[in-house]
Amino acid sequence: MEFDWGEEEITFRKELRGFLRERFDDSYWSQPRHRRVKRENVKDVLDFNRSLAEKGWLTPNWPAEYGGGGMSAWQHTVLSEELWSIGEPRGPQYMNVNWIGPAIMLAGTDDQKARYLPPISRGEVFWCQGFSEPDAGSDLGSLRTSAIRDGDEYVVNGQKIWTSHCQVADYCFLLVRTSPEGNRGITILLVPMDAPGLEVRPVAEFIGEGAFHELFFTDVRVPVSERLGEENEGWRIVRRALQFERVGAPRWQRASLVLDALCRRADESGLLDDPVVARSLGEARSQVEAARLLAYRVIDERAKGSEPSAAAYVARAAMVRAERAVADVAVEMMQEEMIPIESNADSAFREALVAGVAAGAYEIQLNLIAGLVLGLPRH
Amino acid sequence: MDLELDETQTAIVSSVRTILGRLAGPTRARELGPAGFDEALADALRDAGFLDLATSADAGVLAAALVVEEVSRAAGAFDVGMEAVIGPMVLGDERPSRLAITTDRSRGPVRFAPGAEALLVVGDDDVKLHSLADGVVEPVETVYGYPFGHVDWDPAKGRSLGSATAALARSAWRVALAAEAAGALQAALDHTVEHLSGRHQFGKPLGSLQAVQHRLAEAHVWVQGSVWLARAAAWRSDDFAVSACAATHAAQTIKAVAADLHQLSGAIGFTTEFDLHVWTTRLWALRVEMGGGREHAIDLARRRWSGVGAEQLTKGA
Repeated sequence: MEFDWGEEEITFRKELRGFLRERFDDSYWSQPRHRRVKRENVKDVLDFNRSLAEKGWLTPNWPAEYGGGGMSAWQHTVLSEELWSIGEPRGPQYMNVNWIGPAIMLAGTDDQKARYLPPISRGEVFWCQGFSEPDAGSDLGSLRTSAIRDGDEYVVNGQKIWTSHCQVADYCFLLVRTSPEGNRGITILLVPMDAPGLEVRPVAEFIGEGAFHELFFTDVRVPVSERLGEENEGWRIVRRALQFERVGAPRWQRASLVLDALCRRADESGLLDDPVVARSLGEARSQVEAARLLAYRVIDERAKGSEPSAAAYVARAAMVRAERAVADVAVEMMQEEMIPIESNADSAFREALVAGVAAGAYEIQLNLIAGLVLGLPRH
Repeated sequence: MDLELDETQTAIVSSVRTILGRLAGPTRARELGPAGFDEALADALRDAGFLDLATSADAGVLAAALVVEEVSRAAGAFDVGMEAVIGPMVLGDERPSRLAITTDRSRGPVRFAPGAEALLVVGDDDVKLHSLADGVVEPVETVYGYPFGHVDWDPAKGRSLGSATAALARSAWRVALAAEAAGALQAALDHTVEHLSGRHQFGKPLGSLQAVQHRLAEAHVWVQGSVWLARAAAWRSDDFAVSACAATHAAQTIKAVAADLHQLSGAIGFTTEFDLHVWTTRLWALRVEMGGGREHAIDLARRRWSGVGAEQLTKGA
């Protein structure tokens, strides 16, 4: 056991920072908040992704045969930390790298791998995930969007909701029901977003412009060749792939930067002399660092090629709590200054709200910890 | 970065567990009572070389802290944090065999003062070593898991060790506190999970109720955070910020978890025939040491350190 970064990772972080400093102005560093991809800026995001791809940094930890750069899981973490801390300029690409690509590697046919993986590693495409439905949120296994076989095609009907990034996505990683039997009746389809019968509508929300959408499927025809894995095997594939989603976004890094900014502010304004403020800053810091280490445990498993364990649920739950702690400090310190939209405190506060619901609600993580880690009897 | 025990660490932990399995455990701790000091256990670990790891070239402070974590998990009753971590880090090999530690602001009784030959008094800019003559320590009756005594030390006396040593002493003390808390927290949670898995009410195990499960799962998240921060702090034992992070988190975890474990265990948890108190009473003592969570957190924020980021926590970027 040792907690030092290796030489490779240190050198990589330095090189990467130099590259990012040239590309992005100071506002990206001084305002560590999530920047959403919109239709207006999608070209910039794609350009940036292509420039990362040219350096071999877009799918750095993928195997070389799929356009990967042969980097370690730790170098990939360095990349994610640095990019997430300036607002994730890759847009939805981080999802592609973390789990959509790996899911295709895990279960895809040779043809699917050949068609879908190279464009991801070149930075040319975005994907969205069609998971949640109006009546299947935390209880994802009860989803109802149906796919009925008709010759060489599936005919898809139903509705997805809370889908991020689909205004700019080229493909949807879609979960559908192919049999009535709960988790065992779920299949994955890879669907182009311009398929006839697929309609996207934004959902009005106060979390961030364009954060969520609804997807409506009306007799959308999807070739059977676009099914990922066997029919009714979707749950198993997704569960495995999603282990990585839970720590895929290094939220700890931005939470840490927000705290840095708050510390500097408290120092300059004299608020650090207030023991209540100082204490809450220190406590939030320790929670962020705990969440970071718990996420590193999961990355350590990934680096060693071990089967993903339940450590991901623990890391996610810790991150949710840590982000809340940071947001609370931000709100209490900044007071009315948090009111203007996208002030740092406002961003920290609203993003912390989302953290507890996205990637499996906090309570779902607790259920999984209770059962899989603590071995408590089923309720 | 490698978050699994290496071969040496695995061998150390496994051998220490064997010794603890033979000589320690909650039953032994109950027999000794809160003021007990287990000379036999300390001798066995010392003779086997497990209390000298902090300054050894092929082990180091992390290995020493893992020993502290294990001893605390097994409710071993001696000053393992001082002997394995603080003493070697602050004073090296030339040190009295029994030491206690306090701050120059503390007015309360000092843990492990009864029987100590000397006292380290940590101030903001200095640390002093005071010899303890017979009669200056007055043992205090307590339920809080360790021998405590009031110490009548004279601020004008004592040998100054300098400001650099004061900073080191603060880090070392927090590393030891965090490791000790990590061990006791894991044991207290494990014990509660086991009890609630077996105890039936309303015709089913209490541990099957979701209201109970969520609290235990949250406790696990807190405890794991403390465990890993304690280990990282031991790895980076001279880094003020990481050790302050670990101690802050440990104190928050004790506050969030220890009383809750009693709440979930019900009335049996208050009895001395039920093992839980062996760990929780000690945790409450650890929570208030060195000024407690409030001081750790304020100290962490006030030293104007702008960010224990990935770089500082796991140095190198």
